[in-house]
This record gives sequence, structure tokens and C-alpha cells, in this order.
Amino acid sequence: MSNELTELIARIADDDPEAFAELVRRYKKKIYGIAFRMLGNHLDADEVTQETFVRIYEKRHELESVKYFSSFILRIASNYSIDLLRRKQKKNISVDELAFLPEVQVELADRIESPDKSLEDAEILQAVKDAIQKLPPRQKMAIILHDIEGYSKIEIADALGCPQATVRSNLHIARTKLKKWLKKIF
Amino acid sequence: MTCREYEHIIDDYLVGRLDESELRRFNGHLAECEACRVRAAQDRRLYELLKGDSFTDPGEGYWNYLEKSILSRTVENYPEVTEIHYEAKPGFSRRLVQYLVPLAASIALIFASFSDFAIGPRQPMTAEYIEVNIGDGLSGSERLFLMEECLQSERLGSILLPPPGSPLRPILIGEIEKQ
Repeated sequence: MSNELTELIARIADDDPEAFAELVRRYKKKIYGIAFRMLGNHLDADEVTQETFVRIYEKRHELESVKYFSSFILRIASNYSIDLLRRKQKKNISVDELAFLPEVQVELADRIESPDKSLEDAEILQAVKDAIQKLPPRQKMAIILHDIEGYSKIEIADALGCPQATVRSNLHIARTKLKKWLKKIF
Repeated sequence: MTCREYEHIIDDYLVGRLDESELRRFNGHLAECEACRVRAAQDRRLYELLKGDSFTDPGEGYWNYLEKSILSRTVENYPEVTEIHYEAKPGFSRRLVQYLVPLAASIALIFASFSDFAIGPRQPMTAEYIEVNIGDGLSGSERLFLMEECLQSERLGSILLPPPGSPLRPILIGEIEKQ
């Protein structure tokens, strides 16, 4: 950990509210981004982000013993995301309903970010998003963290609490499935 | 290098984490093995697609709200967030959709038409993130209804406003532009 982060965490452990606010400012977008990709909608991403920071605050007096804070926060966010995804999958939400929501969001996103984007690009983007959402939780988390967010396998293994070999296996299976589902693109 | 090592190397290859000698070995193998070359090209294509998976930034309004909301839930004596972003109550959402949304939509349309005449063409506005409780307690079709309302309004999301002086609260849906 950098000296600056170590100092910030020491202040949080010392119940300095401004230090905790700084931590929230520093990590909120990262956590939200991971959760959004994992859950596919804003409401759940918001819940994951809030709960992650609430849990960190609850553990603030233990933070100084944490060796790698980035892995620690990633672990909390990953676990909560995976749990939430599993809870949702257990509910009687049909695949069609789950599949629809991101489409609406993409349509909204297209209006905001790139109104001139070609239909073909939008279709490919949507196909990729749909395919990612179809992956089982841990495979999905592995591919999001590694390929999209740029975490190393060591960091992912630490966050998911599994050996690196399991991360590699999850990545391999996820890629195989995605290529199969997206074979029209290849 | 053999084909069996491919899976051990491809992840680091894609993200550029191979050192020079590993990269040379891997490229050497790809030059000789067509099957791995095709596979690597596909994996590269998939990786590029995944990297391109972006999401819409909810905007500074949301990020500020998120920060305040977290701090109000954690830090002692931090002012409670009283904005209308999240007012979900169990069971309320369903009634909202069934009864209040159609009513408020009608009122909003009338109000909006008068507003447009009064203020002329819409000016460029600052995006601000506001969201209504379209989460728990709503079925897929109800969510669909709300989101379609959003899309059909030809705005970035929708805002359903009660007339001035009405005891009804504004109903806000999705991402909106606010004057």
C-alpha cells in the first residue's frame, strides 16, 4: 500500500469522517463500474456500492491489519455482487425479463453517448452485453475483473478467495462460452 | 512451447503482461501452429469487444448523491440525505404504477405542453441523475412500462410533474435532464 493510502486508512480507523469521505470519493466509481457490469443495471450497482462502503466502515477498526486494501475492497464488492446475483437468479425472474432491462439501458446509453453509432455496432455491443450476463456469477466476475477492469489473476484470486488456477479455469471456460454464444461475430 | 501451454499464457498475452522472452516464445509458437493462431485471433477479438463494453456515466449528480448517501449511512451525525432519489417503500411501488403514474402522466403532459409554449424551444440542459423506485416490488412488465414511458417521452428519461401547488410529489424516472 502507498504511504498516502496507509495514512488515510489510519485516519479512518481513528474515526476521522473526512478520511472516510475521501476513501468513498476515491473508490466509488471503480466499485460501481464493476457492480454495474456484474449485475447489468443501475439499481443493483448502487446497492452493491453502498453496501460495500457500509461494510468497510463497519470494519474500519480492522483496516490497519489489511495488507492490500485494493484487494480487500474488491473482495467485499465481488462477494456482495455474486450473492446479489445468485439471490436474483433464485427469484422468479424470467430470462426474458432479465435480458430486456439491459436493452433498455443500452438504448438510453446510446442516446446519451453516441447517437450516430451504427446499428451494427449497437447490435454487437448488445450481443456482448447479453452474453456476459448469461455467464455464471464467478465466471462473469473473473472475465469482468481480468479483461475489462484489468486486474491480475493474483488479485482476482485474492478477491474471490480461490487459487489462481481456478481463476484461469474460470477465464478459459468463460471465453469458450462467450465465443460460442457470439460465434456470428467471429 | 506446446499447444497445451496456451491456456496458461493467453490471459497474460491479451493484457500485455508477458515478459519479452515469454512473448517471443508465444509468438514463435503462433507462427508455427495455425490452430493456436486462429484461437489467439478469436481470443483477441473477444478481448477487444469486452474492453469496449462501456456503461453510461450516471453523472456528477448521481456521484454526489451516492457519496452523501453512503456517508449518511455510516458517519455519525452526517446529515441525512433527504433528496427524492430513493424513496422506495415496500408495496408502494406497485400502487404507484397502478394508480398514480397514469394520473401523473396525464397531468404532466398538460403541464409540459403549457410549459413548452411558455418557455419556447428546449434549451440545452445539464444532465442530472435522479431515479425513482423502479426496483424491488415491481414485476418485469411494470419495469418495462416505466422504462418505455421514459423512452417514448423523447427525453433522456422522464419526469412526471404534478401541477404547481399540488400535494403530489414529483415522480421521476430513470436518467433525466433537469433545467
